[in-house]
This record gives sequence, C-alpha cells and structure tokens, in this order.
Amino acid sequence: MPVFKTPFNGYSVRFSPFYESRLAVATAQNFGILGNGRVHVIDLAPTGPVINELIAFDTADGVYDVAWSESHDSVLVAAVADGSIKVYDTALPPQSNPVRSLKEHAREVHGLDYNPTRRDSFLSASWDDSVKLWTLDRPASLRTFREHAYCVYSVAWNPKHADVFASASGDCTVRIWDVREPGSTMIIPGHEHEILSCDWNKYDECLIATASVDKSIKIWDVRNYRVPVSVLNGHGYAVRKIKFSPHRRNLLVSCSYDMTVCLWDFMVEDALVGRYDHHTEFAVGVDLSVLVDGLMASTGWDELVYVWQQGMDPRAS
Amino acid sequence: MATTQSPSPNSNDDKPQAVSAEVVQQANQVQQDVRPEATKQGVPASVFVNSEPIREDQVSNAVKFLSHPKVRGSPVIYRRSFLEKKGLTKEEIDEAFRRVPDPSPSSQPASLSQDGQANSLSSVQTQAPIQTPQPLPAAPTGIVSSGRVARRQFQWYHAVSAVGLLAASGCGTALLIKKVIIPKLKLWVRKVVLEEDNVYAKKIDAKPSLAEEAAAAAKAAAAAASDVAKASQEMLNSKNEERRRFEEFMNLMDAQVQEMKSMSNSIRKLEGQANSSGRAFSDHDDHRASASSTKQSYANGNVDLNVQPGRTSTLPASAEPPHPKSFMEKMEMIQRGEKPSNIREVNDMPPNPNQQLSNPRITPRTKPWEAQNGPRQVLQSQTSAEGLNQNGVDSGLNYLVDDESSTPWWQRKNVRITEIENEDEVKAAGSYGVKTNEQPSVQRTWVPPQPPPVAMPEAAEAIRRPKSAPKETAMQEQLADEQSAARPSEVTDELQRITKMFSTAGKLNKVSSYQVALKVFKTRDTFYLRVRTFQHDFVPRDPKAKPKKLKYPQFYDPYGPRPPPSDKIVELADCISALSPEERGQIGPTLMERLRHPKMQTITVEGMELGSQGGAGAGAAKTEEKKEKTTFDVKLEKFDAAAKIKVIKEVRAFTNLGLKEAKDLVEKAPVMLKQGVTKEEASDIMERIKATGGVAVME
Repeated sequence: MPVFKTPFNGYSVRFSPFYESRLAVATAQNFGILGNGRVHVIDLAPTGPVINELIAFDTADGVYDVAWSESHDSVLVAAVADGSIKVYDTALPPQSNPVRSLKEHAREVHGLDYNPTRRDSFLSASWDDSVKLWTLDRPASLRTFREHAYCVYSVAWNPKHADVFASASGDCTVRIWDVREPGSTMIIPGHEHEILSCDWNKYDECLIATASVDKSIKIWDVRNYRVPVSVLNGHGYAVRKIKFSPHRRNLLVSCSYDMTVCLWDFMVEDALVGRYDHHTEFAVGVDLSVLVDGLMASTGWDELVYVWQQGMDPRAS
Repeated sequence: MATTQSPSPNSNDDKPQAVSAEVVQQANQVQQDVRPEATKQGVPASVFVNSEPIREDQVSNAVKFLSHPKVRGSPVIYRRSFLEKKGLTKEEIDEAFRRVPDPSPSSQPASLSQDGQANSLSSVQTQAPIQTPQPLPAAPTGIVSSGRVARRQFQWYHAVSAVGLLAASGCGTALLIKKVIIPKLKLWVRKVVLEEDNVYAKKIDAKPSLAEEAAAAAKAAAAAASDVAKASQEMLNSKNEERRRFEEFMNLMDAQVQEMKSMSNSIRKLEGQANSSGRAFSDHDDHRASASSTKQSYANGNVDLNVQPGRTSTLPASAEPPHPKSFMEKMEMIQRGEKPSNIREVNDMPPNPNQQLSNPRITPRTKPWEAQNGPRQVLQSQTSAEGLNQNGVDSGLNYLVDDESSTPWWQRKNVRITEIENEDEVKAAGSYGVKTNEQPSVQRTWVPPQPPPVAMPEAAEAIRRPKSAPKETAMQEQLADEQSAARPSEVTDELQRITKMFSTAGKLNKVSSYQVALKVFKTRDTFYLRVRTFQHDFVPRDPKAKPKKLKYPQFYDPYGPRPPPSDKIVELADCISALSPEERGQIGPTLMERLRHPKMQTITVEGMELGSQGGAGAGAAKTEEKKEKTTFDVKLEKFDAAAKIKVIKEVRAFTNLGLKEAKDLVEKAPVMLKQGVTKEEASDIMERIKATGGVAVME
C-alpha cells in the first residue's frame, strides 16, 4: 500500500468525487500551531503502489481542511488557519492559483463540506463560533449561522436533503440547521465534552454520528435524539474525525488521537470491525472513497498519507 | 421598570441559594431520564425539527435559573448554551426567556419570611465569626445584599430588626456558653488538679483514676460545649447549605483541574521533559481552567472570559493524549515568542480575484446512495473521458493507455462480489477510469441486506486471508468446495429423498425432479452468495472482550447422566429403603464381603457385572431417591463469615468445583453440598466443614 510523505503535518485528506485515484491533502507546518500550510493534490498510480503528487499549493497559514467541488472536477477549496478559504483550480496553470480567497471568518476555519446533492454550495466551520454558506461564484458568503457558543469543528451536509446540515461544536452540542430557516432547527446535546466531528449516514438520512473528546462515537436518530442509537467505545483518546461509508449502510470509519483508524459497524453488538494502527502520531484525517468501495485514506501528524483497501494492511507493500 | 421588576426578584429570590443547585440537580435528573418520544402527528414536513411538546417542568426550571440575579448578569449566549446543554429544546428555551419577567404572585407572602430569614442568616454570619473558624464566603452576602437592594423598604426594616433580635439571642447564648461554662469547667478542672496535688500522698491508683475521670469529664464537657456551639452554628448556617453546595461543585471542578494539572505535570516529568514542559502545559491547563471558570463565572454572572480556543483546544478534559515531542518543543518556542525558523513568507492571495473557473470536464457522478440511473451516467462519462486524455495537467488518466487487463491495485479487494464483476467490466470495457464499474457497484449497494451470522467459521477464516484477484475465484471455488463438503449430507439426503419421492410416486418425471434438484442447488448458491457478500475481512479478536463465562450445573453430579434403573433394581432399592437405619448400616459391609466372596470372584464376568451392576444400582438408587436413607446428602447449613474462605476451600476439595462456583455455592447456604455419599463420607465431610467453622448436616 502506498504512502505519501508530506513535508508538513497532515490535517485532512479527501478523495475526489470525480477521479477515483485522486486525493487532496491539507497540511500545516509545525502541527498547525504556527507556520505555513500546503495543499497537495495527489494521484494513485495504477501500475504499482505509488503515489504521485500532481500539484501543491502553498499558503501563508496552516490548512486545516480541504474539500473537492462537486460541480467542477478540478476545483477544490481549502480552509486556512488565518480565517480565509482558498479556492484552487488544478486545471489552471499554477501561477493563476489560488482563484479565490474568501476571507470573512474572524478565526481559523476548521471544517469544510461541499453539498453533494445540490453541488453548488459549501459550508465552512470556524472557531469564531459561526458557520458560513458560500458558493463558488460569489465573493461573499450567502449566510452566516451563528448560534454555537464555542468553536465549530465540523459541518456535514445531509446526503438526502439538500438544505439540511449539521454542525459539531466545542460547546458539546450538535446543531441541525436548515438553510431556509434563520436559526438551528434541532439541538442535540450529545456529549459531555467537545464534539469534534459529525457525519450523516448516507443511507438513512436521519442518522447522524458524532465523535467527541470523550473517546466515544454516538449515533443519533434525529427523530428521537434524547437517547443515542448506539455508542461506540474503543478509542483510547479523543476521536478526531468520523465518516460514514458511502457504500455500506452500517459502516463508519473513525480516526483518533490514539493513532488508530477504526472501522465500525454500529448495528452489530461488537461494533469494532477493524482497526488500523499504522500512524505513529495523531491520526487526524480519514476519508472513504465514494467511487471505489472499500478504498480509504488517512493522514496524521506523522506527515504520512496512507491509501489502502479495507481489509488490507495499510503498511503492506 | 424598577417597580415592575421588583416583584419578580422577590419571589424568585426566596431561595437564592437553593435555586441554582436545584435547577442543576433537577435538570440533571431530567436529562438522564429516558423520555419517550412524543408521537409525531405526521404533519411536520421536516424530520429535522424537534417535534416534542414543550415540557413544563423544564421550562419552569429554566425560568428559575434565568431569574437568578447572577445569571442575569451573564450574556444571553451563555445562558442559552447552558440550557441547551441541559437538553432543553429551542422552544422551551424561548418560552423560558419569555416567561422570566413574570413570576407567580402566590409565592410573595412566603418570600417575606424567607427573606427575613435569609437576611438574618447572613447578618448572624457577619456578627459571629468568632464562634467557629468557618470562612465566610463573600458570595452569599453578596447575593443576599443584592437581593436586599431590590426588596421593598418596609420589609428591609422588618428584616433588619428580626435579624438583630435573632442575632442577639444567638450570640448571647453562644457567648454565654463559651465564656461562662468553659471557664467554669476550667476552674473545676484546675481545682481537681490542685486537689490531686494536695492529696498526692493518698492512694495513687485512686487519684489518677479520679484525675483521669475529671479530665475525661472536663473533656467531655468541653466537647459538649463545643458541640452545642457547633449545633447552634449549624442551625444558623442550615439555610446556606444548598447554595454552598453549588459552589462546592465549582470548587470540585477547580480541584479536578488542579489534579489534572498536577497529573499532567507528573506525566510530563515522566516523559523526560524538564522545566520547560511546565509552561507548555500550563497553556493547556489554563485553557481548561478557563473553560471551567467560564462555567463558574457563568453562574456568578461574570463576563470576563479569557478562553482562547487556540490551536490546542481539541485536547480532552480527561487524560491527555501523549503529544509528539516536537509538538511540545514547538509550543514552548512559540510561547516564548520565538518563531520557528522554517516559516516562510508566502503570498497566497489570488493573483486575479476575478479569475474564471475552468469549465468542468466531467459531469458529476451520482452517489452510490442516490443511484437511480447508472447507465446514463456511464455513457456520458465515457465520452468525456476522451477529452480528459488530452489534458496535460490531468495526467492522472493517462494510465488508461497503459493498463487494460488488470485492475488498478487499489481496486483489488479481498472478498467482494465486486471483485469478480470488476474484472469482467475491465475486460469488457478496457477502461476503468470512468464509471463502467459503477453500474454493478451501484446495483449491488442499493439494497445491502443484513449480514448473516458467521455460520461457517472455516469460511470466515479462509476469507480473512487477503488474496488478489486471480486467486480470488480459485478461493471462491475452494470456499464453495468447503461448504459443499460440509453439507453434502443434507443436500444429498434431500436429493435422495426427492428422487425417492418421485420414484415411489411412480412418475419418474425427469423434468420435475431436475427442477427440484436445481432448486436445491440454487439455494446452495444463494447461501454461498450471502456468505461471500458479508465476510468481514478482518475481524480482530477484541482485546477487551471478557472471557466467555460458562454455565455450571446447579448440582455437582459426579456420576453424570445415566439410564434409568431397571425394575429389579427399583425393587431392590425399595427393600433397602424399607430397612431400619442399623440394618442399612450393615448393607455396605455385607455387600462388600459378598462381592469379595471367593465364589463370586471365580465367576469373574458375573462378579464384575454384578459389581458394576451393584455399583450402578447403588448409584441409580442414589440418584433416584436422593432423600432416601441409604445414601446421604451433605447440606451446608451455615458458616462463620470469617471462615468463609476456609469453607469454600473445603467445598472445593471434595466437590472439585471451580473457585467461583464453590463461592457461589457456599454463599447460597443452606445449600446441598454433595449428594449420594455414604455415611462415612458424609460424616467425614461434615467434620471437615465443622473444623473450618461451618455447620453441615447430613440428610
């Protein structure tokens, strides 16, 4: 399984929704505390387990997240730690990049998500407690959602309903919003500690999973959000990111500060299906490919990006 | 505004101290309740809206909470956040906010006396710090004073006078006790001591005892006096308890933070980080401390919040994950104000802010979960794939030319149906970069059925081994073979049955039997299919899984299950049981003699059989009539709690039970320990148990 070494510490990895072999990696220097950042667009070579870098973009501050556009196959957006969002187009020559710099957040932008159904808009989650809605064609944000009391760590669009999204915040709540409504429509006080990530189930639009600093992942049904559908314990430290599988109804993957990437099947009694222990530092980014069933990628502060097929050892060569 | 506002704090300040603690407790309780979801009317269009009705108790708690003067001082956002965390819905929070200025009027008269009492408590506190060294928290008086300001004027004077009286009386009694009685006691003690000195020549043993008695009495009196003082103090402070408890929560949190600080410091020391580590973690701890202080300040109405959700904000409040060493170094460097050397000046601004985005070359693909029409997309993407090849930047697709026969390495999976189908697709289409193989994948993942339990462990084992594509099919066949080997009997039996059916029926209708056979095979195939789909590739042994607990039978039956005894034996047993105890006692020895009889022994076969039969008969008799007096049961009646362990040991010794089972058995006393033993064995057991301190009876 190939490995890609980034010069900076990895923060996020995303598969392209257009090309099966393409990924974008968000990295930040000095663990993201202070320093430059870089967005890598990498490609998996078909012949052997090799990863090639297509192009890389440097930023003034660390890049915390990256998202591919669902409408343009060569466009990606990057969340930068100085509060700006950079739009890159890999089809244009490098000197024309970045195409846009959208600076509206007062603090670091920590999460990005592109709308997979409507494909025209994306959301940014920031440490200034707000979530902003953008489109690629406008220089200013369309909406600002300001209700959280603390940093918003992640946002996720609902895969079925194009107007609904969820935001996970350090104020220990997950809020569900509808872009047509001025305020949040639901508040799920999910954990006793900060919630670092949330994601919707792709096959059941009412199930949402939240990952928290309290080492657990909880699955909630928004129709009955007082009690979680399932609680997944097993990580040794805070769970940093979770992602539901686009191909399996019950599968989700999570990465944590205990340096492991875990696969869960939450409908089963013994939910932990797989555990990958390949990182030597915090595993902070994980993604499952929408196009290839079972293909997953992860990155961590050990400056490595692994891409492997579910079931195989990511470090096998 | 003041006049209209004044009733509200009045009623809601009845128990200013109790309110917040109450709210916290009640809200906690409510939050922990599993609430049945209110049934949806079916009317709301969106599922993502809270459809529960407004809970009145939550709202009233929230109202009480919001009316607290300290809470009123805090920003709205924190109040809302607090209530949200408690599990209130938006509607409930809004309702509470609406309700806050309007209290219920009925609570007003009750509030007067309670106000007076509250005031008295506080003033007594201020006047009697000399009684006990109890620290006077500044907050309660602050609260009460702020409450006092808003009260009506006449009530204030009332309150003050009542306070004064109570204070005076309380002080007076307390002072009296301390100043009069204790000196008296001291004098008395001194007198006694002096007397003792004067008559020291007298009986020495009596003197010390007297002195001791006196000293003890003096001590007791002093203790009693202090107790009385304490009691009075407690009485005075009883009202403040609840509010102080609330603050204790805050203090506890602070204490926890302190502990965490010390813990993290020690961890850092262990990791070999020297003095510099303290600073790095002080940052994290400061963050957490300020996080907890936000909660405290929230309660107390302070606004100054210096929490910086910095780059380290995602650290857990509990055990911290071990950070990389270089991370710590970087943190320290930055805290010192140094910039790490590897930072460059990068201009990442767009050179042309109005740059047009390039046109998309691929139409967006449907997601697997929304896939409705696969083929349509496939065609479109195939045509656009041509255009892709020409683009230099997107060299990622040049591989199309290179590889046609084999799948790319990342599409090789262990055991998936897609595997075989992918291969087919690749062979057919020649290009895989587009969505040719999305179609089968799309159809496949449309309705993922439930995985069956892993019925074939050997199959699961086989499948766990990672294999590449060509070997895949071979393994599948192997799997099929394994499974067919495992179930040949069923299938062949079925087949035989079916053919028999048909042959005996007379009409050897080849077509129908063939169809039946086909059905049988089809079910086999589908079974295989199901097995193939849902093998977990990697099922790790859960390291945290508890070892399986096996069930032990309730009674230890060393002879195991046996066939029921024959009639002859039953009759024998009846005869024996009809005997008197002394005669029964003779059965054993006589039987032994008989069996050892030389005449008996010559007929070895019979002897052995008889012996075994006798033994079996005896055993059967024992099992059949457990309570019969031929065999004895030992029952553990009770045991010394101190000797429990010894008793358990003994029980284990003669029942061969495991430790846990023996423990359970003993704890169930009175319980049957052993059944079907001879009298000697039973008495032996009894003695042994008695020796350890238990009581056993023979039955």
